[in-house]
Amino acid sequence: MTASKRNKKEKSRLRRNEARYGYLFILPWLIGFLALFLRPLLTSIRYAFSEVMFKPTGISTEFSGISNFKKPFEDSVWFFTNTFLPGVSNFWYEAVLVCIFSLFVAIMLNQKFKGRTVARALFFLPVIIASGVVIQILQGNGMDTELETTNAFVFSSGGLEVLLNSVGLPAAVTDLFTNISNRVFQVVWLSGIQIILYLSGLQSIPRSEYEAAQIEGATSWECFWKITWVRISPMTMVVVIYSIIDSLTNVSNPLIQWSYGQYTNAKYGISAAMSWLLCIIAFVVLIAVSVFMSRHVFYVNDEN
Amino acid sequence: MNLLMRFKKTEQKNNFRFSMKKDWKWNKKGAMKAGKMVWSVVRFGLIFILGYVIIYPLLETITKTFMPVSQYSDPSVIWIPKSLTLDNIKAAVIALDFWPAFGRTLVLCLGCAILQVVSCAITGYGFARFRFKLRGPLFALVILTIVVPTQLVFFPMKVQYRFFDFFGISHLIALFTGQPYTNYTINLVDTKMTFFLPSLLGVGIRSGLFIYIYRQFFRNMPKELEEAAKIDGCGPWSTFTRIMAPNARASALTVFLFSIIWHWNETMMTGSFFNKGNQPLSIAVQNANDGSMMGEMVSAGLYVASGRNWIEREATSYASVLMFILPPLILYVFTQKYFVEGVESSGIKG
Repeated sequence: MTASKRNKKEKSRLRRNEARYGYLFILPWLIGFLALFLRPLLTSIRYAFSEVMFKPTGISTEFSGISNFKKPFEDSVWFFTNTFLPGVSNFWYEAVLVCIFSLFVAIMLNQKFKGRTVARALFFLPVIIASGVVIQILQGNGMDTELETTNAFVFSSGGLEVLLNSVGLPAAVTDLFTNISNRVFQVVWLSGIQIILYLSGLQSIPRSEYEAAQIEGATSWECFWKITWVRISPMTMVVVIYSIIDSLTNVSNPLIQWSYGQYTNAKYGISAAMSWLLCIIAFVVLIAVSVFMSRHVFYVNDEN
Repeated sequence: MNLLMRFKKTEQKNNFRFSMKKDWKWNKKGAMKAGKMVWSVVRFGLIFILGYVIIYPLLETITKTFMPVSQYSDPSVIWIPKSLTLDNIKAAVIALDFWPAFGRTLVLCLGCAILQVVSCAITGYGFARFRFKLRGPLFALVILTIVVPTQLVFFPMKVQYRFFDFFGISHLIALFTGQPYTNYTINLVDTKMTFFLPSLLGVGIRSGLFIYIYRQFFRNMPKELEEAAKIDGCGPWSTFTRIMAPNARASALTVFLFSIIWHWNETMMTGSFFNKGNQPLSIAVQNANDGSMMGEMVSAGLYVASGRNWIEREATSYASVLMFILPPLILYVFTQKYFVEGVESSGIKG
């Protein structure tokens, strides 16, 4: 009786000790989060609801209700259709395209062939140099001026359109193809990290499963849907969520560009309000997507 | 077992069949071989085309950097310039103020990367290996720092660094002296502290993701390792520094490389936290390609005021892009293996 009591006491003492060390380890981060991250976050909520002015003694704010949220929509009719709507809705097709494309490329890069190392190095290259500045300049120079005049580029939309029209396809189909081909550049350059994620997911699938399926006479098509697709589904969720965050918070998002422009024009309140609107929409989308996807994701429990 | 037996059975059956069956089998094999060859050709084609999409802008940048401006609109020049020149590079060096900007950026990237490698490892270890009440909610806050877009917080952050007041200490002093608290705040804007401080405290650029990577790694370490260390008399801190951290080298390298790359490419925060003349390379490149800077550059003697201005500017912008991406590119060539393997072995798993 006394022994078990002492044991219990000892156990709870150890627990407390463990918790104390846990807090000690995350203390630097906690301080940083509270002092450097949470404060600006809360301040930006205040800015969103007020008029912000610079004064020599610091920043002064005046509460102005939800006028910051209404003003951009009232000022210009085009704001909603040209900036706001693409800003908050482009993510879905970008995520879908990037997801399909990166899985496809990852499967190719996971197979054995000569020059695989070079091919892998090539496909991860966008991770290194695809920063906002470089992609804008490269895309700006590459897509607008050079390609359309010289048609040197295989995916140049002009060339493709002519080709498809000469074959005699209806205009709607041509439009679809040109739209897709215009996005190839964008999608290829956006998929670096996702390809890495999928590749690491593919490598964690045990080979024995494929071998067993082959002995049973499964085709590679069946293998893909019954093994790869199921086994990779947790990674698909990570990839989709990463792509959505990337698309919604990227500098190329029109709404972010717009609110950055407002910031440089010293309209801090409006900039904060629109950023918060985008952020809230992003949260809602992310929660909806993760709830929906987690129902269809398959986790292997027999391992570990 | 079951499977093996069934396999053996079919094999036996096949042996009893006559040669026609065998012929059919051979044909199937041949068809599979042909299919494989077709696929490998298709695969090569696809990889080649997509690789071309990736490498094309890079090749164009290299070509146009070393091509004299006079050949830009020459229709007989495709890809390979007739003569090489360093004029574009020279113009870009002046336009970017290259060497000072390069030095600043290097110090910033290396400093932040080292700080992040250490601080995120400690935090990740704390979240992975200790049980405490608020672990779940606090880790959700780590994820929050990944999801919140930078542009939401960078302006209030700038204000905070302009009137830097750690946990209200300045307010406290002001309470005693009766003067406005801004007299006692520190101005951190335009110093590297605006990046070093958050990196040190685990809330720098994408620190949340790095904490996540470390946590996943430490979680997969065997429990016995910790217990053995404990028996040998290691406390939690020395267990971490002597046993766990040395094992996390692959993750640390991944974090280090990604941290350097992301700090190198950062424009939004660096653009607003540093004043003109103290800005890192990414902002210099951006400015060199911004039309509004044209006037300044003409007056600096970079461009001849003539009708060919825009081509000269284009050439400078190609050269500046090349000089901007060359250092990470060199880093990538040497560490390419670690980028891929590091992410794979660091266990970012869903």
